[in-house]
Formats: sequence, C-alpha cells, structure tokens
Amino acid sequence: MGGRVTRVFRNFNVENRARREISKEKPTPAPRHRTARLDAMADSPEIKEEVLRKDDQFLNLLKDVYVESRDPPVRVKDGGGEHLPSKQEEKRLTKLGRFEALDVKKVPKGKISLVEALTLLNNHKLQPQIWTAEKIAAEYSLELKEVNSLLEFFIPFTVLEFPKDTKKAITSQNQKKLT
Amino acid sequence: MFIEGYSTRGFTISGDVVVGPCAILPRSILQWNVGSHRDISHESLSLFRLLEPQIEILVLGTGDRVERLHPATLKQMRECGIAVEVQDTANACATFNFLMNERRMVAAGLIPPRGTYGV
Repeated sequence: MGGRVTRVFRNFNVENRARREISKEKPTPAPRHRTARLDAMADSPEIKEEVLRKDDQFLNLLKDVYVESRDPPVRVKDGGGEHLPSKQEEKRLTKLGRFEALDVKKVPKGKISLVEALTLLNNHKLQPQIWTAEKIAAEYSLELKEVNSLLEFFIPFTVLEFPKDTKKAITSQNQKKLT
Repeated sequence: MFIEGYSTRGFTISGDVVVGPCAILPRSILQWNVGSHRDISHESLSLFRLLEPQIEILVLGTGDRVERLHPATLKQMRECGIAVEVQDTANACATFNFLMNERRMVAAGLIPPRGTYGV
C-alpha cells in the first residue's frame, strides 16, 4: 500500500525530469562537505595572491625573533661502534659445494652452509664413531650444544628406489621407500 | 621443489615419497625426528637457524590442526631473523608451495596429519 504511493510519486513526470538532467551541458556537482570547501578555497586566485605577497609587518616580527640555546651540547649517539668494520663477525671458508645458487664461499662462525649440513649429517649417519658430535663441532666451528640437537633431530633419508613399472608394488610398499 | 601430496604416512615431494615428519630445506629433504608438535622446540629447529644463507621464512605444519607452540621458541626464531608460520599441515603444504613459487628462501617442518578428522 505504502509502496504503491511512493512509487507514484517517484515515477511522477520521470521522463521529463530525466531528459532535463541529461540534456545539461555539465552535471551540477553535489555540495561538498564543509571541510572540503576550505581546500577548494585555497585554490582560488585571491588566496594564492595573498600567500605569495610579502607582508612587511610579519617580516619585521620575524626579524625580532632570536633563539638562544643554553643547554649543554648533546653527545651524538654512535651506536657503540657496532658498525665499525673492525667489529665484523668472524668468517670462515666453507668446505665444499655444488649447488651453484646456494653455494656460499664464506660463512659466519657458528653457522653452516646447506651442503655442509647435509654432508655432516650424512657422515654422522654412516660413521657415527668417527664423526662424533665433538669432532663435527670442531670441524665446522659450531657449538657442541647445537651439534647435538642437530644430530638428534635431523637425519638424512635412506633412499630406496623402486622400478617404475611395478606401480602396485610401490603403493603397497611405499612405507619402505624412504625412511 | 614442491609438495605434491600428503597423507597420514608422509608426503610426496617432487615425486619422492617421504615417510614421517620431514624438514624441507632449499633443494633438500631431511627426516625430522619429532613425534608431535610438542617436540618442536629451540633444539629441534636448530638446523633452520644455523643455515647460511639464512632462511627467510619457516613454515611449520603441526598435523591435523594448528597447535600453539611455546612463545619463547617463536621469539628466539624471530630474533634470529626467521619468520615462522605455524599452520595445520594441509595449509602449511600449500603455503610452502606458494612461497616456493615466489622463489623465496623458504624451509618447512612438516608433521603428517593423523587424519582423525575424517580425512
């Protein structure tokens, strides 16, 4: 009921009003928000002129201003010399490498390259008596604690290869493929 | 190197079937000797921290669902400059592949889901 009444008003003379609206050269913009109007005023020529004109009164006032500082001079922070070249971290040459992009020539002490990590883990797996944690720590300049956790948690996979054509065998045995 | 699939046993990574939790490093896979998310600690993340060139982001898949890790562990990793992303394994695999595709220095530690949630 109410909808029908509003529709009647909305559609009243709608074609004429639409025609009048689209025949306008330029659509009348909706009124701006109060704050936006201030911005628009800044672009007007009077304001621009006012801004560019030199005001002698203000200039004189500005000339009277003189700032004096009585605080003791502040010491410049130097970051504790951490960025000086003499404090650079110690580096060592890496043992070997064959992954071109991942090859790094020098490694900070206490770190290892990927290739070294794989090598040392594999060595330990194959010959745990020779490659003890102590030896690895000494060889690669690592902390013994880190080596121990490395050896405890990261183990190279044993790779088993299955012939490609026996697909069924792979699905039933794939648990044995890599352990 | 992308993760092509996961199951309750393990993962398929670039055509290789891997059983059990695994640590995926740039161009290599290692067995990760953790039983559950409770074993993820400062020690069990040691390799990720030690590597040079440094890993940018580490994706951890905690199994069936996201688990809360020890805040100190996460803080220590952050101090080493490694961003850590903890997710359930299914999402972690996807995140890893996505980051890999962006050619980032990404590593992952993944625990296979147990599949008790109707997987």
